[in-house]
Amino acid sequence: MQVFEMRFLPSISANGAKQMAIDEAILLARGEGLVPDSLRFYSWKPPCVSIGYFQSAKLEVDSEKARQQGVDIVRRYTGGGAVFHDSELTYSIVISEQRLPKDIIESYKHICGFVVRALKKLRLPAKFAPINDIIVNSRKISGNAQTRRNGIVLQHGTVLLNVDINKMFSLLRVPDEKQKHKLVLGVTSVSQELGRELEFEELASAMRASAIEHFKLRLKESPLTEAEVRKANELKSSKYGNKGWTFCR
Amino acid sequence: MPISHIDFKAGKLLRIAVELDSGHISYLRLYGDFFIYPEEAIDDIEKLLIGLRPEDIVPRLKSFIEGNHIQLIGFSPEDLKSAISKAF
Repeated sequence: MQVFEMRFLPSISANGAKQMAIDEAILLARGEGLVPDSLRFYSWKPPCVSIGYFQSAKLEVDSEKARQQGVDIVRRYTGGGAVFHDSELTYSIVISEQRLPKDIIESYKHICGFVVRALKKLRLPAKFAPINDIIVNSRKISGNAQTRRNGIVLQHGTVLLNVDINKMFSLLRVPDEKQKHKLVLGVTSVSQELGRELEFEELASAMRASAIEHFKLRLKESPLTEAEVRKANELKSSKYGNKGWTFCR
Repeated sequence: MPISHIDFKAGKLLRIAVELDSGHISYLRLYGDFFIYPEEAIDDIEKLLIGLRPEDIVPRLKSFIEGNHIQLIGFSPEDLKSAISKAF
């Protein structure tokens, strides 16, 4: 089978607006043929609640509690649900649709396959759970979301290293107590499942190795281009860091 | 009629704000953790359904999404009709 090369970007820790702006800037640059398919891992500082493209910020997040706790709120370019990003690794992959199954849910499954493989390397019995989750022992450990532009797919997703359930559900609004109970029981983390703390770097290393095996590719370390940095800065101020976008629905 | 807020569990959670005027949709916003490709089609879908009666939603939405190569993931036109019908 043919081996292709993918750009592997340096991991950064930054606020939600910056991370979302970088993801979109890469997607746009890839769509213009200016950069190759790309993969990066990142974390969120300060912690952040991201909401899906179609969600109502007011219905999903207690913005006053978020403000009090120093937690940012950002609206993603991708659909899906609200996520509290704290102790986790987020990946984002920007890849040509041609390298993926045509069916959208199959394409989620294919990309999530590299995360499943990484978790299995850590001896966790991970499985893809349609539409867009990865579970371990029937509990969600990873949520994933994708968007498509100009023949290119951006999929980003989380892998929880640790989870503070009480903090998560003090920030996220849940429609009713029954659903809250179900959600609390339905979430887990890598550290919880392994019975030991796992650092970002250790998970990143497993995910990097699994990406190479799963997608049958070579990773070439390379930074963002100057044009991507400029676009990301522009998107950060005009869109993701702007309340007009965050609270547009 | 005032705006009704409805949560409807389809494949994903569909959260709707809808107002009906003499049995016709006069205001509609769709929220939730679903996916629509391309995402911007949400604005057209919300506009498309204004003025319709709930029983007209399914054929109108199906023809719109098929004609414009739009994919709904996490809810169907039938789910949307069922959700809006709860406002009556």
